[in-house]
Amino acid sequence: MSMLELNFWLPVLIMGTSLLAACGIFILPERRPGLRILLNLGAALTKIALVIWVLFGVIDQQLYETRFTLLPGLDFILRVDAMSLLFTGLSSVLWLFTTIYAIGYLEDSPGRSRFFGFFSLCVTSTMGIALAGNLFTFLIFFEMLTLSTYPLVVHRGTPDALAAGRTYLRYTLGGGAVLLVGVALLYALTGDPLEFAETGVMHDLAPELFPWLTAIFFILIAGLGVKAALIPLHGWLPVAMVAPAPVSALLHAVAVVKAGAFGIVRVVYNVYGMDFAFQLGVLLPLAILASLTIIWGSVQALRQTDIKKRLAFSTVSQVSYIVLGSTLFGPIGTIGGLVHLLHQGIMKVTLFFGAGNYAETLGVKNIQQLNGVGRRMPWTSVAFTIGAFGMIGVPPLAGFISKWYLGLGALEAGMTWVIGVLLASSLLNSAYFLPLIYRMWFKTAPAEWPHERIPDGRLETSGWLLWPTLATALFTVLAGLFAASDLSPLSWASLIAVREYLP
Amino acid sequence: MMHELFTQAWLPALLFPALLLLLCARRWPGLQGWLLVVAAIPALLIAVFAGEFQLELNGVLLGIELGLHERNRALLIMTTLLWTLAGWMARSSLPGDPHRLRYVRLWLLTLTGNLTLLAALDVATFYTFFALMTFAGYGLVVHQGTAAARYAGRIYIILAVVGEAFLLAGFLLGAALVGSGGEVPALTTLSAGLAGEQQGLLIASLLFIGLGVKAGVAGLHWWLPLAHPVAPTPASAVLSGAMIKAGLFGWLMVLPLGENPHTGGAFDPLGVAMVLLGVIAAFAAAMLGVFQRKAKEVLAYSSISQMGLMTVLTGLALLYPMYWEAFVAAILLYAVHHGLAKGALFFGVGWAHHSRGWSRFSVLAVLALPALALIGAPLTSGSAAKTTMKELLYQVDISQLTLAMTWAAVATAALMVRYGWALAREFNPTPGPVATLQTVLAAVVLTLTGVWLVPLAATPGWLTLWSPGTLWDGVWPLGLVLLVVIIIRRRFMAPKVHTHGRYGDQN
Repeated sequence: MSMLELNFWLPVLIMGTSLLAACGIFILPERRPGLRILLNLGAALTKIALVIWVLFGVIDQQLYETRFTLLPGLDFILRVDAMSLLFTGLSSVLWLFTTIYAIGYLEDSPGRSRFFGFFSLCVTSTMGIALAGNLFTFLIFFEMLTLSTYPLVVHRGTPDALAAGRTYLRYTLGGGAVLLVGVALLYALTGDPLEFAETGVMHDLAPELFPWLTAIFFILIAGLGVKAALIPLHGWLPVAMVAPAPVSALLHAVAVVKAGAFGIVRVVYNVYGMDFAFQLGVLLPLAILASLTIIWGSVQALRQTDIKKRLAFSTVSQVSYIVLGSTLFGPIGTIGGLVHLLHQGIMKVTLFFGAGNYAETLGVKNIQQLNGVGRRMPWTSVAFTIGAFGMIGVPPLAGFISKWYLGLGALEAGMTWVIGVLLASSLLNSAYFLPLIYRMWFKTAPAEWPHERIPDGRLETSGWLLWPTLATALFTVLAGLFAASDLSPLSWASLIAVREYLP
Repeated sequence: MMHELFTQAWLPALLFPALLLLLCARRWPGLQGWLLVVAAIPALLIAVFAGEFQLELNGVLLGIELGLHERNRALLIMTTLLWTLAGWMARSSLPGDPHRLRYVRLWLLTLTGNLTLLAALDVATFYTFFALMTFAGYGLVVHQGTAAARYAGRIYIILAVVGEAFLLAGFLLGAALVGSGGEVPALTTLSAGLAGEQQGLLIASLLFIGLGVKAGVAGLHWWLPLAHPVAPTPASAVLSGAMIKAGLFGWLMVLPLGENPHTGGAFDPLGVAMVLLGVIAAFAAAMLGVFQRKAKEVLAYSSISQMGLMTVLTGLALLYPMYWEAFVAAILLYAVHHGLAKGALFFGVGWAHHSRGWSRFSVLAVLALPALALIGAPLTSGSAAKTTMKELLYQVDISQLTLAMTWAAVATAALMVRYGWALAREFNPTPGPVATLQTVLAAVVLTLTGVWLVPLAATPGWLTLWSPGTLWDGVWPLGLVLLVVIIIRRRFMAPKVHTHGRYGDQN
């Protein structure tokens, strides 16, 4: 594809909207909030428009690829295919909502220029990860993501925040280093530029290399697993909860954790390929690790009394569903894992928005403080309830669709024990979400809230905080209720699965 | 054309209670009570007047199917009638309730779940609305906010969630077995598909347990006696009358009852287990129930006992596939009769607490009618149900079972006598809402007449009910129990000195 075609530049353009926004925000003075908001929202909407454009193209099997040769044998590739669109679409839509939310959340707080600048850089990195066409490009943006999210984690500047930032860097830079080792080893071994291809690129390799390839697989998983919060590499996640709610929402639903999971999905499907990975026998250990993470995350969530920490461990558990789905051989399991990438994103962002609303409006941070909050903030609580039931897997919400496909996929792959893991996880999810819902709706509110910052007016809280919460809750319902329609996340995941198994 | 209209209107009618949520707002207080009353009426009208039909909606969920057929029509009519009456009674309790909005909203959601699960023809729809009914129903159980209510709610939700897990396991394994791709099978496809497969027994057992929590099967019944006394009276009525039937209905739809008569005895272990658990429930619940002090607790144990009888019938349908249609008809007849009678008795408890000047004797006399119906006294709906059951038992000819069922009538009679005793103790002639009285009278009338209006294939004709055998069958259990009660009081209890007035204790 020549540099003169639009299709060559589209991937760069998609990334560019947020990169330009970042530059613009860093240049703008702190005291120009209106212009900053305009820039933010304008860039987000432009990005969504571009994504919709390429969406139609990809359905038609059009090719959008930006390719530069940086070194002989090493290309920088940005490519839009069905799989990258999954992540790109999720990121761009949720970026819009998280931006609106962050505008409201950080109103009148210092350092907003810096915050939104790095926020946009974070989204740029996420786009880069989503659009990366080979492991090399992936690695570049993976590291960039770490560096652009660090300032967000330590935004508040308190000693706790700085300590959390140090922990975060230790884990993620360590993971990045391991990933680099894995990619370098793979390149050295195979001499292959390791471009992502729909059914993997390792079909024709010599059998003597298989033990090496198995070892490299686990090195790659370890590197990606830090961000994807696989145990025992998940330690940074609960600690990073000290960051403001929009950051938690972004980290846990959109950017960092999803990037790790997405990386694992890419390695399994587009580098090794399902067939080859199955042949090597690496899928079962990964499935077991994912299952342990699912159960461990939920057990730890039960022990937390801070709302955001509870949600953090829930994320540890739920993201492993995606990893688990990638180990279930067969299209149904694949669909389950991929669709959960979208569903978990929407549901988790709803829950974090809700938690942020409670914290910002009423100063409610702890579970015991949730008593009676349903009466004071009914709409937020409805959204939170929807997110919680979605996590438990109650139909007709999005979470049920994912669990259904994962369960059927496990049975198709002959791994019946996975059903036990899914059910145990549902029971544990019920155990740590239902009490919260009970407190909200069935207990009496205290005479005074811990720190009521936003009084009850026409809306229960600031509109900037409320509307994104309701919007993502609505998506949670729609994604499940209309899963069978052509516009649903399920249909998109099915499309990817078909292309993976039938090249 | 009417048929077309009914088919198109089915989904809106089922979801009508949920749509009414939009009208449920703090600024329209007068409207809230009426929402409770009218919510089930569209569904009632369609269930009564429409012919059989099926409806598919491919873009919703994973593709849903709803319909009206011979197995759900009777239950739908009973359910909608009961919810409407209960709504009429609940309406008068709203003023002065600090949480009335929450009550009305959860009531409407529970009702939506109850109605739509009965109309569901595919696995996902059934599971969705079963879950809705279960979770929203929690709110009705804990509504009063007392410590006992909270405890009952906890047991309820723990068992409910465990039941949901079993149900999901069964549905996943079943869908993998009979379906292809990720598609969701129809309930009939599932039950037919289970019949010929090796895993069929496991899956059927998982589904039995999952649905059995709701149906109050012995061993999974713990929530029932806790939840009924603490819930508001109209909610207890629909809980016992309609909601627990959802579990039974689920069994009828998913278990391979004679869909394939050649199961080759593969499901016999499950059938035998069901019969045994049913018999245990029928008697053990009665033995526990006769020692309870509160009327609602007695009724709760009576529900477990009666559901035990229905479990026995379902187990027999599984064991004798050649008679399955007759068994299903008998089960439906029993379920409808029990729903209406139990509903009337629960409403009666509310009435006895505020009888508006009616005397204790009059209250007991009126409530004796549904109680006699439950025992199976002559000319009542219970008698029709019992006769049908007896005929089937003669056909399968298991002498122990016939004997057990005969004595089950004694158990029920004992429970009803205890109910009367407990009600007499709780009796209070203070003023109360007239709606309660109206509800009770309507329910009693329906109990006595309603089952004749419900078209069921195996409803026996009038003549069999007048035969001497049937008349005797309806009378002797109660007579025996009264005899035993009189003997116990004469021989083992000191004569009571009546120091209080006519109206006795107030608790």
